[in-house]
Amino acid sequence: MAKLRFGLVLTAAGGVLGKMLPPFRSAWGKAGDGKQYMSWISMADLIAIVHHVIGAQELSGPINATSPNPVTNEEFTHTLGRVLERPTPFPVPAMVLRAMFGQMADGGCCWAVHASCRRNWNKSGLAFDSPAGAGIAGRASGLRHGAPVMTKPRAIVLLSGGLDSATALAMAMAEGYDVVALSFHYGQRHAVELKRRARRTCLGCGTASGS
Amino acid sequence: MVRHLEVELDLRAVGGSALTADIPVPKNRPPEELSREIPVTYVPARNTLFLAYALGLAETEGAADIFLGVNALDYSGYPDCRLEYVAAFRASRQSGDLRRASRARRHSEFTLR
Repeated sequence: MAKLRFGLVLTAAGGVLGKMLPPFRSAWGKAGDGKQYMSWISMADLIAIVHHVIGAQELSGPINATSPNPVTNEEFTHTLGRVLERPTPFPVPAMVLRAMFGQMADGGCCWAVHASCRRNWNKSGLAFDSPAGAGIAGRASGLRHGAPVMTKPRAIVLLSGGLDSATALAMAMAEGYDVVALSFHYGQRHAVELKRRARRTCLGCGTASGS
Repeated sequence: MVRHLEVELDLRAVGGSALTADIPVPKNRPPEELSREIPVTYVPARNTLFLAYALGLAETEGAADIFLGVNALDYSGYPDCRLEYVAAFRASRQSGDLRRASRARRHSEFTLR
C-alpha cells in the first residue's frame, strides 16, 4: 500500500494560494524567518502522481507527493511577489501564520525528504511536468491578470476533425500541454467532419466546443 | 485541454478547390497518384489562414506552441504542408510576434495509409 504525503498544492482554484494571496496583495512578505523549506506541488502534477501511484505496483509505503525542487519560503515569497509585481518586505509574524494556516504553520510546512522522493519517482518512471526553477514563476504567471494559474505550457492545436489533427491533439496533450483546439467552418463540403468528429474528439479530451 | 474554439470563415469566396467549389471530390485514388500533383482537394490559402488565426490566438492565450497536423503523404502534394512552408511561417511568426520569440512546431512523424 502506498501512502501519499502531499506538498502545498498550488492552483488558482484556491487551496493554499487562496490563503497566501491576501497577505501578498497587501505587500506582506516571507513567513517567519523565511528559511523553512516549502515542498510544493502543482495540481496537475499531483493528479499525475495519484494516477501514477494507482498503477505502479512497485511503489509502497510513505511517498512524498511534492515537486522535485523544494524552495525556501523566502524564495517562494520573492518569486510570487515578483510575479504579482508586489514588493514583499514585511515578514508575516508566526502568530498570524498560525491563525491563517493552523498547524501547517508550525514546521509542518517542512517536508524535506526530497532526495528519496526523487529517487522513488525516477525509479518508477514518473516525469514531472514542472521543470526546476521555472515552476513557481511559470505557474503563478497567470495570477497577475486574474486568469487561472497555468500549471502547464499552453498550445494552440489546429483541429479539422481529420486523423492528422486528432493525432496532433493527442501528441500535444501527451506532451503535457494545456490545449486550445481551434477549428474552422470555412464553407467546406465535408463540414460534417468538423461537426461530428472534431467535437467528439474534444469531448473525449474533456472539453465542450463553442464559437 | 482548455477549450475548443470554432471560427467561421468563408473560403467559398476564393473557391478553386473540390472542397469549396463545385468540383467533384475524387475518392479511392491509389497513393502513387496522390503524390504526383497538387490535388483538387487542395484549398488555396487554407493553412495560411488557419495558422494566422492560430498565431493570433497564441498571442492572446499566451501559448508558445502551435500544433499543425500535416502528414507525410500530404507533404508531397499540398504546397502548404511542406516543410519549407512551415519553416517560412515560423519565420514570419518570429518577426511578427513582438511579445516573445516563439516557435511553431510541426509534427509530421505520422503517415496515413
